[in-house]
Amino acid sequence: MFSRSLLQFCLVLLFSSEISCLDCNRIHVLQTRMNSESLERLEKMGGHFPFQCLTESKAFKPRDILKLRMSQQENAKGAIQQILQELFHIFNNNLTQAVWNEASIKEFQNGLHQQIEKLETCLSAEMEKEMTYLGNGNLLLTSLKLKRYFQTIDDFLKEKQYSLCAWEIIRAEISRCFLILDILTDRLKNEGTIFAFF
Amino acid sequence: MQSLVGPVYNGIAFAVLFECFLIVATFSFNLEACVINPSQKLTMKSHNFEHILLLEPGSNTTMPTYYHVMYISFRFEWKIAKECSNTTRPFCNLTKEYEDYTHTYIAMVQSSTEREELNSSILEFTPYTSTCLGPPAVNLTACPTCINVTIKLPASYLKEKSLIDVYQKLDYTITVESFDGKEKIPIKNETSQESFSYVVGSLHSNTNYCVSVAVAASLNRHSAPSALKCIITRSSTQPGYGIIPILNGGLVSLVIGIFLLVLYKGGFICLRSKPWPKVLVCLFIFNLPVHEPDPEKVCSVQVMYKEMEKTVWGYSYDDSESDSENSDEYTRHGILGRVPGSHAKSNTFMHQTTDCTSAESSSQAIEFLSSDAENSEEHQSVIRENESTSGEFFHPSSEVNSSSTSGLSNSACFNINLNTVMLGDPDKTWDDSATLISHQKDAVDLQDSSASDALVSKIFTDTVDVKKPDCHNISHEWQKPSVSDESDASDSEYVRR
Repeated sequence: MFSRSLLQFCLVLLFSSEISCLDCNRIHVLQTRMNSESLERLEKMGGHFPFQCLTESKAFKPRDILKLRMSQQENAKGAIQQILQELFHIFNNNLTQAVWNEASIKEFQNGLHQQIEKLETCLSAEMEKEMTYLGNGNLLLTSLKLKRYFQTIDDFLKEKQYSLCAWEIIRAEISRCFLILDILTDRLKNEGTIFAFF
Repeated sequence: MQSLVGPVYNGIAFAVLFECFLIVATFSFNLEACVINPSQKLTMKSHNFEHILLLEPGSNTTMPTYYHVMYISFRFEWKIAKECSNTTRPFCNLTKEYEDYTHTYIAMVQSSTEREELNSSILEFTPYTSTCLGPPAVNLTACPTCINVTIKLPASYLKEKSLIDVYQKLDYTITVESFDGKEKIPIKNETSQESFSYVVGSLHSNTNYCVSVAVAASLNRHSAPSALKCIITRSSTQPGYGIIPILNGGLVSLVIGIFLLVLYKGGFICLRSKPWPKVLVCLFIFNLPVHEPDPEKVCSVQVMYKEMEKTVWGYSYDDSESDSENSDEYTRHGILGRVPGSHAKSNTFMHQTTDCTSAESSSQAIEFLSSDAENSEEHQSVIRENESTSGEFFHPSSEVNSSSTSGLSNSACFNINLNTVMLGDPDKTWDDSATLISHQKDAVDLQDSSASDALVSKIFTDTVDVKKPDCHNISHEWQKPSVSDESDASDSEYVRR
């Protein structure tokens, strides 16, 4: 009898946690929380920045992502989604030379994946409308800027052959990505309600 | 199936409780301490983007130590902290050096004495995520059951930027302490003002409350709470506990009353206000075995008429010409009343004998008889010519003493056994007269004034058995006075109904 109640207990936990996260009007709350969790995991992955890599860091000069400015009409959802997907893509590369904890790497990747999934369930209907929107010239510009930024990171990693120092430098840079993510997520709540009638 | 229901409910209940606990735990404010000490020797004290690097003195404190601070931001060159090169002060203000707050800075401190060069230590620091968001300025004003908290953000040490400019969104946590215990109230402030007020309600009056406010950002949980400020809530001097709740209660009861009234009017609610029909009431009374009625006193009354000359009833005809006028003026009013004026006293000597079972009634009867004997009037019962009712009228003679009359009307003596009533010709003896026995025969004996010698009283025993043809006859007779001549002639005329 106890095992039966335990089963029910677990099922209800599972379902309720899934159900409670489906509220699309509160997506910015969830995303904010997941952002800060991902940043914590990123900082926990490795220790202090190795001193010897300081000289190599001069070679890496990307554009400042925090200088990314979006106009008021632009939708933050697309930018957030693009950033998260690029980050996930970066951390799918060869991580053998990084001295990070395997478990913490997996945690970070899982967290990113969850963030992407939650955002997709709420935004899939909206994104199709966005593409047909006439004023999406600015949207394309932002998308291009982001694409160029992450391309720089990718190129640097390939050039340094995924060395330890390269990864540490990239890790420090990606922590700044979460700052811009935080700002963009804050804009999510101002961008109208998502009707959950579908 | 029953065995599954119990565990299901238990499981669900526990799961819900656990989930709630988890949710509360996750959304609770996790504020971190403000002092950062990642390295052994270097400590960064940063409040609102004012960064002070504390340099711990070496073990050998006898000789002055010179410090040289350099810092680097990623992708940039090493820079020397201008105010902290070869200084003996054990601290270094790096506020202006760490201008770009989103970057991560590494500070390197080289401590040296005159004799030797000591170790250098480094400290990594990101202002955006690690600076301590300083204590806000708090002002309290009290109301009876609430406290109005005015929060003002501290100024940041950045150039031309406030904390709101940096973080855009800040979370506040108000901690209210009282003798009851601590309570943390998180506030999501949607306004991006530097100063705003918040009302903490649902408090006791006349209680000392201490309030503390902490500020934090989503990516920076380091916060320094404000010092505890205490205030005593005012006593509620208002006599009424709010007019609005009373009005609300009255309004609700009024609405309910109107609703019930509408239901009552619409017939959905029945209050048994209609009385029972009289027939049922009588039935109920008769069915009640509560009270035994007094046994009916049966008296047999024999009315003997010796002489009668004239009897005058309350008919609208002259006494003198009773024969002719009787027919003419006989009206259908019936024998309802007597007109004493048109009376001619009859010299009737009435002798009544009563045989009452009860002494009381007999005494009353005798009394009446004695008084009545003097008068010419007899006691008679008048029958109303009414098909529908069997009304029974006892008209005691007006000449009779009122006392006896009044007593007579209530006398039990006159509960006459109907079966013993006899009708007959006054000239004949009583025994010879035909007795009216049968209920089925209803006869009214009317005598005209001239030939009438006696009054024949007739009591209708049973109106139900009134024959319709009789009624017709009577009416027929009434309408045609000529027909009634025959009845006038004879005394013992029986008018059948």
